[in-house]
Amino acid sequence: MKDKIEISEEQLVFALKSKSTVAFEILYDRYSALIYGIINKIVNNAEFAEDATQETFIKIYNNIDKFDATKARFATWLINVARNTALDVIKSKNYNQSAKNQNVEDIVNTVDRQKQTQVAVDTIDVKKHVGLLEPELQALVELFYFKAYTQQDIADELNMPLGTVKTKMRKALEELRKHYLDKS
Amino acid sequence: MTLEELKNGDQLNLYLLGLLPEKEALEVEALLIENPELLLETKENEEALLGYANEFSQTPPTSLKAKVMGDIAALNNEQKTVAPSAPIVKKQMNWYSIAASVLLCVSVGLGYLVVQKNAKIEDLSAKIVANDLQLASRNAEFSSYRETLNNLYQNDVQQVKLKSTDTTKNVFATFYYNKSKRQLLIHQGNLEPRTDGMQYQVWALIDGKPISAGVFDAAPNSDSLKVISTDLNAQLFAVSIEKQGGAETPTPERIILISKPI
Repeated sequence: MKDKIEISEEQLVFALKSKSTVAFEILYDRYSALIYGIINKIVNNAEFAEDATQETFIKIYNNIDKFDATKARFATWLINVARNTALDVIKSKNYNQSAKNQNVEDIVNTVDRQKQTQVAVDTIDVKKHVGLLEPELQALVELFYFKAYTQQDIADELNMPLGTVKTKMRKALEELRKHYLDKS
Repeated sequence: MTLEELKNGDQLNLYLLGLLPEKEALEVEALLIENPELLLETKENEEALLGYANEFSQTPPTSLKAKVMGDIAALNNEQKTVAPSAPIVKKQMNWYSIAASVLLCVSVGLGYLVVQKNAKIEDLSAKIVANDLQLASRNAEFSSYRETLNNLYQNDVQQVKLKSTDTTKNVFATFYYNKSKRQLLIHQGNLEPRTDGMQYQVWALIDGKPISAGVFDAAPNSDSLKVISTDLNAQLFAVSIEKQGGAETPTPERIILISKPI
C-alpha cells in the first residue's frame, strides 16, 4: 500500500526531518541499494558493508536536520554520509584485523596508505564499467570519489606528478559529464 | 581563497564530498556564487558523479531492512515520539499470539475467525500506515507553502513576470528576485514537466551578455518556489529549454520565456 502513494524527494526530506518511521522505510526502499553499493565498493566485504549501512541509516536519522537542499542534492548528501561511515570502518582495528586474512588483491583495496605507497592501477577494481573511463582515469576517480583522496594523495598513490593528476582528474570528470549529462 | 586556488586545489573536490569544514565550505560557496560558470560546472560534476555512483548500486541482504527499521524504532522510542505504526504492529502481534494460543486450546473451528480478525487488523494497520504517509506528505506541502509565503513577504523581493516569446502561446512563469539574499525564486507558472530529458535553463542578461543562472525542472501542478542562488544584476531574465544540466549559451530558437527590462 505504501508504494502506491507517491511522495516527492522534498516531501520525503520533510517527513524524515519529522522522524517519521514510514519516511525512513521509504528512504530505505529508495536508497539502500545506492548506499550499500557505495559502502561495499569501499570496504569490499559484505559483512562490514552490512554493518556500515546500518550505521549510515542511524547517522542519517541523527543528522537529517543538517541537510540543506539549496547546497547539495539529497543523494549526494546520502552518499557523503555513507562514504564517511565506510572510511571510518576501513580505519578501524576490527576491519584491519579482518583484512589481514584477505588475499593480496583485496588488501590493496582496503588501503593502508602509509604502508602501501605504490598501488598499481591494475589492482584497483576496474572490472566494472570497463569502457566508460580508461582504467587509469577510473582508478583516479575511484581514489578521489570513494576513498576521498586529495590530489597529492593520488599523486603519491599512483606515483604520478601532481600536475598530471590535476590534468587527468579534469579529463575524467569531463568524460563522466559527457557520459551522464550528454555534454562535451 | 582565490578563484585560481579553488580551481586548482582540493577544496572544490572536498566540498563535493562534504568534507570541508563549515568556514571553508562557505568560502567555496561565496566564490561559486560569484562565478556562475564554475558553479554550473560544479553542479554538473555532482550530477555526473551521482550517475557514476548509481552504477555501483547493489541490493543489500533482505535481513538488513528489519535491522535498520528496528534501529529507527529504537531511536524514536528514545526520543519518546513513537511512530504511530510501530505500536500497532506490536499490538497486532500480541493480540494474534494470545488469540491464537487461546483458540487453539478451545477449538480448531474458531481458528477461522481468528484469521479473519487478523486480516482485518492487518488491513487497518496498512490503512494507518498509508494515512501516516499522506499526513507526512501534506505536512511537507504545508511547509513548502509557508516557506513560499515567507520568501514572498520580504521587503526587498522584486516580482519579475516572464511571458512567452511566441505570442500565440499562453506560457508564463514568475520570478521573485531577492537582491540582498542573492536569490532568484522561481514560480514555474504553467510550464509543463519535461518528459524528453531536457531542462529549463534560466538566463540573466548582464551587460548585454546572457549568463546562466542555473537549470530547473517543472513539477506537475507545483506551487512551490525553486530557489537559485546567484550573483545577479540582471537587466532582464529569460528561460530556454536545454539539454540536461544546461548549455553554455542559450539556444536562440529554444528561448521560450522572456521578461521586460528590469
